[in-house]
Amino acid sequence: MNDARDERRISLPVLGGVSRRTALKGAGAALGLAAFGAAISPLAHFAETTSLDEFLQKHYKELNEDDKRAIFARLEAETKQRYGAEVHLRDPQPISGVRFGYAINLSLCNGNGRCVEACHRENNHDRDTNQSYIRVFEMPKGTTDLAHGNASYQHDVPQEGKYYLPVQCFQCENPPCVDVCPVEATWQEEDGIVVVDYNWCIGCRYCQAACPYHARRFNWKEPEIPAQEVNPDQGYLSNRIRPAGVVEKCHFCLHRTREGRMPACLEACPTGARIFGNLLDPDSDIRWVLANKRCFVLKEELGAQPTLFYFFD
Amino acid sequence: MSDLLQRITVLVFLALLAMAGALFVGASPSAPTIDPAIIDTRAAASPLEAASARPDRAAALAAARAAFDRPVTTPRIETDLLDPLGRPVSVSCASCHANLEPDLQTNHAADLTDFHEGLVYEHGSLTCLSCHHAQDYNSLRLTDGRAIDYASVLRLCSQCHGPQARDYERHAHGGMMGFWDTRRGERVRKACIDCHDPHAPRMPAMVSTFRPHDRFLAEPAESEHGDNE
Repeated sequence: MNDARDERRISLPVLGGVSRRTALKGAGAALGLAAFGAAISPLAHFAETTSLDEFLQKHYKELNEDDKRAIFARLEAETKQRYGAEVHLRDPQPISGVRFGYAINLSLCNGNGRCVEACHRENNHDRDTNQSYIRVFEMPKGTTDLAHGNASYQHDVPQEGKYYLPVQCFQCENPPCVDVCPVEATWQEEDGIVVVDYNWCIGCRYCQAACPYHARRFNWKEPEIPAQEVNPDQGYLSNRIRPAGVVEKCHFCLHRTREGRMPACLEACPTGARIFGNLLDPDSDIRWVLANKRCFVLKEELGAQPTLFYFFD
Repeated sequence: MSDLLQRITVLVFLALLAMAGALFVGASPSAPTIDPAIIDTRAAASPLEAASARPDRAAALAAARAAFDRPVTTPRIETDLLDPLGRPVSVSCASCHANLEPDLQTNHAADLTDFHEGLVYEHGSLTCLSCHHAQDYNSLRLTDGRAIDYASVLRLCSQCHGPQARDYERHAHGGMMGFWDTRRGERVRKACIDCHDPHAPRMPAMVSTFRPHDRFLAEPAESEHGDNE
């Protein structure tokens, strides 16, 4: 009886008594483990570049003063280590009774692009890509449709039959980009500025898709900036050097404007086309412009209610 | 009796005076005219600060005026000569013009043969002596013939360029630096001739040199045919 059973249990010599089913199970498990290992391998790299403190950092709105001090010290040290630059990180708060507004005189703007460059330098953008929060579109007269604009012109300005339309974040009253963020990494502050917590952003880029004005940028790589060109006057929610893989945008230079100073793009404008101020102050320059010039906003019908206005003299 | 009448007369007079005063005070802030002191940069003690309802506005205008107030020096012009040390030589306007009789027939820079040749002049139908004072070449000339300092050039320009002067007064024209909130710091503003050449005031053509490289910036034509090239 026993011999007859043994004869029936014939198996392949190579697998040595393992059934086909078990062999397939084993192979499947091995492949599954390998796939899992490959899938989580970026975490090993992540652990190299991300400290435990950074990984455990809370949302900006949950940070107290002590947390902020520690984080700012860490970020300053990291900037020193990676860029060789001594920087000072601050967190200026909205001024009560202030809501910022911006106006650009399209009769004066001649598309020279100095604002684009000033933004690039002020906000510690990647030198390699010439990143900037401002694009100046060369537009054919008679339309405000950005699809007809060309933002890569490199010739003498102004050209006949064209006008020039600088576009940056409009700090909308009703920002569509904020609504779509799945992790609340971007929000509107009391002074109207829409900010991003670069350490909370997961880089999903929904906000970029939601913005009707192409105002947001994605950091495809860690910015490269020579040490002597790093702007040391930095704000946590504004121009500090952003990590790779997060979304960023114009913040009306809040590290300057919340201390009463003009934005960098305004100071750089050689035609005097830009006017900045407090919308809530009836005596401000911006309110005078809104009351006395024919102002308009882009894509008004979308209802985002930009607080950056354009006008022609 | 006459004493009483006299007193009543005095009282009535005083009441009338008070009413007139009240009317005057009530009317003056709404007067739509631009206070000439705003554009007269030489007015040392103007009533501007007192007249302004808001101290920060007054401070802003004071700062603006400080920015215009070029040091009142004798106006000079560059020559194409070099001194023995190789430095360019400039001379005061009056060094030549004090001894020259102004030629009222000269209406354009192109007519000049002895000096100022090649001066680009594109400023409407104005002539030299529309703005330069024929009796005193170290001064500018207002349209009514009065002489003003070169430092007060804003006042000269404002005679014709009213809308720009109005916008300028409201900080809606002209480049500036410093503080939007003038309670926190000074605002420095550019004067007319910091941006506009007074002899050819149209803003010159500029070259756009800085462009970000990203995918939204491709030329419309390139994005359609870029793959085929």
